[in-house]
Amino acid sequence: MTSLRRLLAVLCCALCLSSCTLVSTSSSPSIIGVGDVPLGLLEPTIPFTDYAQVRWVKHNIFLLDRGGHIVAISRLMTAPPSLFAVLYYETQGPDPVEMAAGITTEVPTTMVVNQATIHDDVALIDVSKALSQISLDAQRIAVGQLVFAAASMGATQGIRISINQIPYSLKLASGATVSLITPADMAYLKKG
Amino acid sequence: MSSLLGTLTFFGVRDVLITEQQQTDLQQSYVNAALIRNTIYTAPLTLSNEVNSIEQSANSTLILRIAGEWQTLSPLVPTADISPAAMRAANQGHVTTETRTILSDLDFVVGIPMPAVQTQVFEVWQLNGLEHNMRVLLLVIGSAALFTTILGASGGIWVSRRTLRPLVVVSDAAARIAGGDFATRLPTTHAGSEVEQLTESFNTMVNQLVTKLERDARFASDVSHELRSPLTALAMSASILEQHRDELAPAAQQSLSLLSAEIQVFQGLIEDLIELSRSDAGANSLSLESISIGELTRQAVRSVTRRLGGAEPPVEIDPRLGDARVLVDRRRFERIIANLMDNAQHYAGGVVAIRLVARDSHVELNVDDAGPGIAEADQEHVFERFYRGRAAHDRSVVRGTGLGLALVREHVKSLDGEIRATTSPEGGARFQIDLPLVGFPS
Repeated sequence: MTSLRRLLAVLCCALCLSSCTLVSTSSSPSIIGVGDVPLGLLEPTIPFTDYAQVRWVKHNIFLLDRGGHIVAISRLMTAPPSLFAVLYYETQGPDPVEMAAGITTEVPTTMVVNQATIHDDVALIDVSKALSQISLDAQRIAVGQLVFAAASMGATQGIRISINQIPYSLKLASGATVSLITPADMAYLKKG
Repeated sequence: MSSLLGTLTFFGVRDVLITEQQQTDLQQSYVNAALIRNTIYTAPLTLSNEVNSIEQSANSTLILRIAGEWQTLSPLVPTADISPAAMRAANQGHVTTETRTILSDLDFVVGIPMPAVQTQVFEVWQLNGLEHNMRVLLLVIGSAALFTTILGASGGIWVSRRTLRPLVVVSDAAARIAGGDFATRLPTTHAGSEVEQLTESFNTMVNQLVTKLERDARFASDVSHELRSPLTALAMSASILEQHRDELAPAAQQSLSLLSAEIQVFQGLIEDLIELSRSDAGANSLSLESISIGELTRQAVRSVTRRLGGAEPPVEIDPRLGDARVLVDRRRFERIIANLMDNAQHYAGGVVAIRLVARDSHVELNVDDAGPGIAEADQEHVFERFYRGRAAHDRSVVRGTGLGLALVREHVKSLDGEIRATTSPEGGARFQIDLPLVGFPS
């Protein structure tokens, strides 16, 4: 009878103590057996494809530092990166950590890249009208960011921009209006 | 027992709930990981939207590790809280689960590596809801256990009391019979066959016991009466011989003395036996009178002293007693005094004093003798019939009947009094009698 009472007391204490943390944390992770993982998640290639794999590479996009100069910032992209992907990341702007470091952008986040191709080292980029709705100074800087992004993808001769299929021309700081914007036109935006 | 069952139930249900919840979360994590893999393969630029959509629909938080770099949509997620062991396992291509504190007090973290897209997915499921359910479950089971414990205990007490009630009645009746109330019988009930059987057996046993006692008492009484006549003839013969003692030879005179003494003892024994038998049979009638206890005691002491010979012992009366009266049978009271004084004279060198002390509602009559006192172990037994204490083994003392003190107790009881043997202030034996007072002056 005494031992039964002791057992009950221990159980009650255990119950009271366990009520503090009813579900306890684990000291180490439990490993699920490979055979128990469904959907081919652990396969080296994507199931139901021709042994397809996705690899990631780092590629630069161009944002603005604290001084307003265009600087290269790397982004992870699926390999091989496309101009469209690079311009997409341009529209995404800096991440929270970069923003905290003073990195900004003039490319409108509402701007949509409709089309982006490279032909004879010239990038042909069709975007939404959000680009034309910002100030001229901001447009120069935003276009500069796009020029260097396209140049990094091989468009070394410059870019031609259209807004919803309508050709776009940019009035440079020198007063000249150009439809083919080259890296040389925007070189002044880079540091040094 | 209900607490034990409640505890086991709680832990059992808790384990089932936790296991079910974690299995559900794990299966959902597999599905979510497959969605992410397909998104990376088909439309990597929409990965953020896809992750957002999954987080909203699954109510979980996703942390991606792409090509070794942490990617998270929520700045609230501390990626460093994913355990190094889980990361190592993911690097080695193992799916892991663990319970950790990341976003809430308790999170279930599933780590799934997907080598095909060079990505590891860590999905954090908050178990706060489960913790809440556990507390509710604990409260419900604890309350139920407490309720059933109280109910069970109350029921057990009620049933046991109901079951033991007949035994309590039997115990009370046995105590009354042991106290001398042989008229006690158990009332016949219809509480159940076992109880009825017990009642019948008990009453039969008491009837047989009373019959045996009455038979024994009658036998002793008959024997005593039968012996009294020849003994009287013997005593008369001895008395005649005593009248011619001078004519007898010295040896015959010695034999006559011995014979006379033994006949006297034998007569005393027979008288005592007859009186005890009458007392046992309830045949002794009481002639109660309201008499001053002081006066009664003086008269009794004087009368007994005259009969026994020797000096009259002093009678000390508490002045507070005044004319306090007792309701007694005078003959029995004198017999009490006579037997106690006789006992003192035979075994303890006589009575030192007889003291009357006033108490609240009774008078304490103390007969103190000049002897060495009664051993504490013997004090309880000196009133038993034929009990032989230390003095009885002393050959120098005169042999008594062995019934004197037993008769004293019977007479005291018949007067609603109590008697006990203690030690007097002088060191001798004290026989203390408590008798109820009537008309005690306030």
